Amino acid sequence: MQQIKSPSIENLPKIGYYTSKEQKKEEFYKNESHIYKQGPLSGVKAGAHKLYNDFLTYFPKGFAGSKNSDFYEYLSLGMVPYIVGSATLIALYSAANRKFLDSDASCARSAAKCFGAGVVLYGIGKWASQKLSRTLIHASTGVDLNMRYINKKQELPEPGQEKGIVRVQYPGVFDSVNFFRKDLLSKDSELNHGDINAYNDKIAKKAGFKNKLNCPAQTMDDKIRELKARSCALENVNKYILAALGVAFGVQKGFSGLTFRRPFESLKNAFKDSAKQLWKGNDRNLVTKHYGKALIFASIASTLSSWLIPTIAFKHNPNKMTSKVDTKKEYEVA
Amino acid sequence: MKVISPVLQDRLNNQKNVAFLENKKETENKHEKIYNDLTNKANQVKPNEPKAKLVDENLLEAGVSAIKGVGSDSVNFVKAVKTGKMSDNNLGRINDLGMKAGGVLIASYLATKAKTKTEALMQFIGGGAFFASMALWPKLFINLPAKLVHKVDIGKKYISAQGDKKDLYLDNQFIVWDATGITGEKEREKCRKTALQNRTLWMATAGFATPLMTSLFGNFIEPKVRDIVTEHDIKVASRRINGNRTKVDIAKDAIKDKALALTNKVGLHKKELHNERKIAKLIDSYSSSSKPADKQFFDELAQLLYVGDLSNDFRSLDDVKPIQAFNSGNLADALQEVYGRRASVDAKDLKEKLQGVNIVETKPRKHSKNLSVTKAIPKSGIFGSGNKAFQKDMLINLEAEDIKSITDALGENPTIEKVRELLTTRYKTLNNISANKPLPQRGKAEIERFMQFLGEDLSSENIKSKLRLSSQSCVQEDIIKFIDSIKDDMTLEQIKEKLQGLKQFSGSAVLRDDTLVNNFIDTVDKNFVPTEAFKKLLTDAQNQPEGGKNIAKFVSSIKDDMSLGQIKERLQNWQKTLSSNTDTNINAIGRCMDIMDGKNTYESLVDSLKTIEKPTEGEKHVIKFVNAMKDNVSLEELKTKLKAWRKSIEQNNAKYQQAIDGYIKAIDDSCTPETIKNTIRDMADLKVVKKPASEEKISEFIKSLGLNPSPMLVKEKLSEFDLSKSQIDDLLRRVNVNMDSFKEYILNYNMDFVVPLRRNVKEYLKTVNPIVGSRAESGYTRTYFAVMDNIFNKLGFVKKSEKELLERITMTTDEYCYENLREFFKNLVADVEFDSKEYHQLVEKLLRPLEKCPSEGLIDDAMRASKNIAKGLPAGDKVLNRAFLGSEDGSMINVIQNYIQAQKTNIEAIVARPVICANFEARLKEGKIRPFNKDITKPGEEKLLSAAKYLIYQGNVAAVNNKAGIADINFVELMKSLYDPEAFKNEPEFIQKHVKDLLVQIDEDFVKSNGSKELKNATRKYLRNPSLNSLAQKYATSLYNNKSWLKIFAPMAAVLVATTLLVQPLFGNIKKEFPEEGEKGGTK
Repeated sequence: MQQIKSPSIENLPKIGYYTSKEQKKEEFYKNESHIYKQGPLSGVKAGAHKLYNDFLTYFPKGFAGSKNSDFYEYLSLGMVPYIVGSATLIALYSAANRKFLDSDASCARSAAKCFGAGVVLYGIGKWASQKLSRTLIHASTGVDLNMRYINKKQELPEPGQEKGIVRVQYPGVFDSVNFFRKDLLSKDSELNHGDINAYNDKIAKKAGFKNKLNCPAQTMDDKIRELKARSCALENVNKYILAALGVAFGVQKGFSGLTFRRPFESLKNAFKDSAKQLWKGNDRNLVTKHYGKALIFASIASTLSSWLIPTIAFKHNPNKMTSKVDTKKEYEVA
Repeated sequence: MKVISPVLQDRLNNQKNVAFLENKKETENKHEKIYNDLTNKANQVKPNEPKAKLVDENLLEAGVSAIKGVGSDSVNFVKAVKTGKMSDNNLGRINDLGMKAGGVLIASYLATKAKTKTEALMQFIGGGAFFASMALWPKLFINLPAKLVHKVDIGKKYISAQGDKKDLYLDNQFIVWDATGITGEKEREKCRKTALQNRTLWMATAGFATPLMTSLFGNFIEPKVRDIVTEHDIKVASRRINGNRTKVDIAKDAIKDKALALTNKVGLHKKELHNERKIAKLIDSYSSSSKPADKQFFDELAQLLYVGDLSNDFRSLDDVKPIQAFNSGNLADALQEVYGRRASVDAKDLKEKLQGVNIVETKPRKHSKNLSVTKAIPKSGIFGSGNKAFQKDMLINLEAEDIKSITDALGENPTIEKVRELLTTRYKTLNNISANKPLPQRGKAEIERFMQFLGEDLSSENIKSKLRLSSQSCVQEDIIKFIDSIKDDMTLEQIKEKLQGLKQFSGSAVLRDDTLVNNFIDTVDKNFVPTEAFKKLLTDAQNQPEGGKNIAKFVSSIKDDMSLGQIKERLQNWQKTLSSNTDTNINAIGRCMDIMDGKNTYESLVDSLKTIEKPTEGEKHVIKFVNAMKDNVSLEELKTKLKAWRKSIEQNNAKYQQAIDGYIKAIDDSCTPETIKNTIRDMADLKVVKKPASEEKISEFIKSLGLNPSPMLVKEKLSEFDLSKSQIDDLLRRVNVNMDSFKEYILNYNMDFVVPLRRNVKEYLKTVNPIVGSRAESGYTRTYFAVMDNIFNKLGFVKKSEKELLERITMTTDEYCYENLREFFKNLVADVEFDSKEYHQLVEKLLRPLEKCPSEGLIDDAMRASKNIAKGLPAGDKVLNRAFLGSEDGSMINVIQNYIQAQKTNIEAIVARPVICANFEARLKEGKIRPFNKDITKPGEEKLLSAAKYLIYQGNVAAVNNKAGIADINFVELMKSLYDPEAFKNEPEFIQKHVKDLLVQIDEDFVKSNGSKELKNATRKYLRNPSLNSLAQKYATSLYNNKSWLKIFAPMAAVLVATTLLVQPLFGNIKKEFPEEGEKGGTK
């Protein structure tokens, strides 16, 4: 039988009674998963880390069929088709243009520019919608749904290896609804704020509980779950409306004037002209005239709804509190 | 193996102490109890039953479940937003729902931006293809090969314990093995590994594969969609042209119109059809239910349909035949037949009609029984169109006694047929009388009468026809024979001999008398003139109009022996006759107009006209005219026509009067009768008779014009003289016209002077451009000029180009051709983007009627003119002729003409441009357009072709801005290459094959569109953003460069598919994890 050694035995933190808090934190952070300090670029960093590792580690692991490929790696692999697909779409419209004759090539190039702008703005729209709604929710509820933690994963040894590698991952704290990492949150609040309930207290205050709760985790866990579920559902629809708006914006004639010689000027003009054209629409009939406007209004409405609906549900209204005790039900007293 | 204490084991083995065991139950302590329970059930402890279940679906069920999934996803979305409680898996599925919704939004938005229907449809088809290819790529190229090679179903799904449908191998570290039933570790490892590897492959290839698949599919299916859309458009257009009418609608209208017309004709029943509403209902029931018109329909219609009181007359299906004939439009005739057979005539009306009937007198009136009715009642019935050979001189009215006898014999409400039978039997036609029966003698008076009856037309046909109609039928056959024997070559003496031969005919009591024959001959002689003139009379008199007849007559009366004084006398007499004729004719019309003034119906009008006793020639003409117009024209139109007639007679006669005056004055000693005759004959050609002119006068005229006369002055002065066409040409050739005024004249072209002036232009240009002059013999420039002439002559909207062209009169041939083409295309192409308002303004500007526009339409004239040009080309250029002008459909000139036709609405110019482009491109592809070097690989020719393409696609934008190096090219070579005759072989088939849909679109939909409302609808229908350049962009990229696009991306797709398939066997290798026994020894 194989002797299983717990990794943490070797790397036990050198913590004693007299070690300072910071030292304790350091030692803890070395080997354990923990929430790190978030900044404005933390999402970008995590995305870059994912992309970089996609091509270096996750694809090789996947093709090798290792046991250590998990769901996080699979989801991060899912970024690649989006990027590659967008590039292919743009290439489909532009790669063949050099083979066309002059007149056709110029026509095709302008069409390709519009389409490329549409593709790029699709991605931007998707990203922007999520970012926007989540920042708004963070501001109003205190819950940062983008929060990430460092996951230190000890992998099993591959065939031929003695020891497995410790891999670093950057998953989100609130990725799952039912199993969000409240343990990490409590640990983080303990280490950084002294109180194990610091985080829950903070969001409970934002939620509208005036007095400090005795067991904030009990109430706030459910609230967080509901918040996450609602915002996730609404985001998943909202981002595609904004993506459609991005496409509509990019397909306008203004973007056919893009040049590489003067990129910024042409971009500025393109944005201006396309915005006007999108708003103005086409005189052919009612639909064509107002579709752009409808898209704009719809995207604004859906973004607002994706912020407002979860927030309003999150807020605690003491007047509308319902008891969880069902008075009609009969209880058997043993 | 059970692990029990030896004590217990002992006790179990020794069954003697069972009672001891049983007694020991009470003293068993708690721990022992637990221990015993566990050991007793040691082998029965099992894990829980797995709640997860595999999903086993085929493709169809998978599709159905996918559709159901959309519903459940949306329900979950609402739940999640409402309650906030949702599982992770279902939250993730809402992403797919959002993606589909976003796809629909994007597709619909792009469809609103699409410029054609096919484009709009393709957005949705492309979107659907995108999602389909996202699903199909893994299924077809990853899962299927894995299953075939490794026998592992990677796409297996299962339903979890929570009720969610998930992929089995979604998470590499969480696979529900107990639900699959796969037990062995090796198998499990193999499945897991292949699944992971293939899913990674899917992630790697999906980005390339999905767009490629969608675009290839779209490329494949777009032409088919376009065909379907054009067919649908054609149907809609044809319905629009026919006013949304089906066959049944047309039949309904036809029945209504014809039936009503019949009632009006008959005059018996002037009300509406009694069952019109029921008929309409019946027809509507058939048309709404789209039933075909079957026998039941016809039977019901027969019962309902009647004209007046004919409801009882349609007794059998044979009577329904006329109704069955409504599709062919012969309803009126068919109904008339039935009507004639069955309809009854009111006796009173019959009386009135019989009073109006004229019959021919063959004997004095006392013997009324021997009255012969000749054509008094025409074959077509009482209500048919009157027989034009009615000669009222010879006819008399029926007496009241006769009428009474007729009506008594017929009885009450006789049928039309009965009436006809009775009248025909009673009053035999002359045709039935044989020559052998004795007939009363005829005298001189009769012959004179006959000659009067003949009139002035002494052609054999006229004689024959009049003889047939006359009462002298006893000699009819003989005389007919005689007339037939007269030939045009015969001289008068021969004719006279023939006449004398008539005496020998038997049974011809008329001609037994020599005096009669001689009298006949004398009368003939009086009217006969010398042979040549007689011939000319016979031929001319038949062809010329009224005035011409008189002229011919007069010409014939002039003899070479006559003196000028005699000729003058004759002229004056003729003048008098003309004036008297005019008097009679004008006054007759005036009188008739007065009579017509109070009348509202034709019958009352005809009746009133009949009251004229002894009508003069003019009045006869008027009555004839009225009778002819009766069936075809309404009363008001008739009156207007009579007025116009009157006016024309006045004008014409005034002109003739003037002419004759002029002539009388102009007769000098130098004139001979021949010259006089010729000039009088020439007068007949001209519609406007002006002063006669001699050479001196012409030279005087030219002098009077001055050095640099303006064309208007020329025109004015010319109108004062009367000149033949050839004289006008000569004149214009001699006149030196100033350039500016010349220009003006061209721009305000007058159709009378176009031809000689065009010639002047050409000659002028030849003098300026000697190259043009030297090349004038080449077929291409000739045809080119011919086309330009066509345009110049007929299509006024090229005025601008002419102006600018003439300003640059000092250019070379190339420039000249270039400029012409440039203007040609420029004026017909919208090469500038503009707003819809500008667009509409521009289009309305173009639709505004041009000055001096031909009434029939620009395009008809253009077509005709171009066809005439073909005739004008020399025989050696037949090939070019055919190529350039081509057959009816589809040659280049036809395409251009269609293009010109399309210029009626600017839309069409935009839609038609692709036709030309497509035509050109298709021919390019097939190698049919080549310069005369016939060597495509030469470097200069690519440039040439690109320049040609540029010109055709972008209009002249490129040419103006000197793009594609057009200025460097030999433009004539370019034009030669475009109009290569070999390129136009089998042109119609070619067009059918390549551009049929577009041409059909143009022909069907835009030929009839006039006015701005339809224009607006047409724009909305066919164009979204009316800019030719944008449309050309789309067409350029999609229609004409498919192959070059496919050349790049089809191999890419093939490479991708090949790699995915080839990589498959490398997967699923578990040798490292499970090395075979004996290779490396046992486990560590």
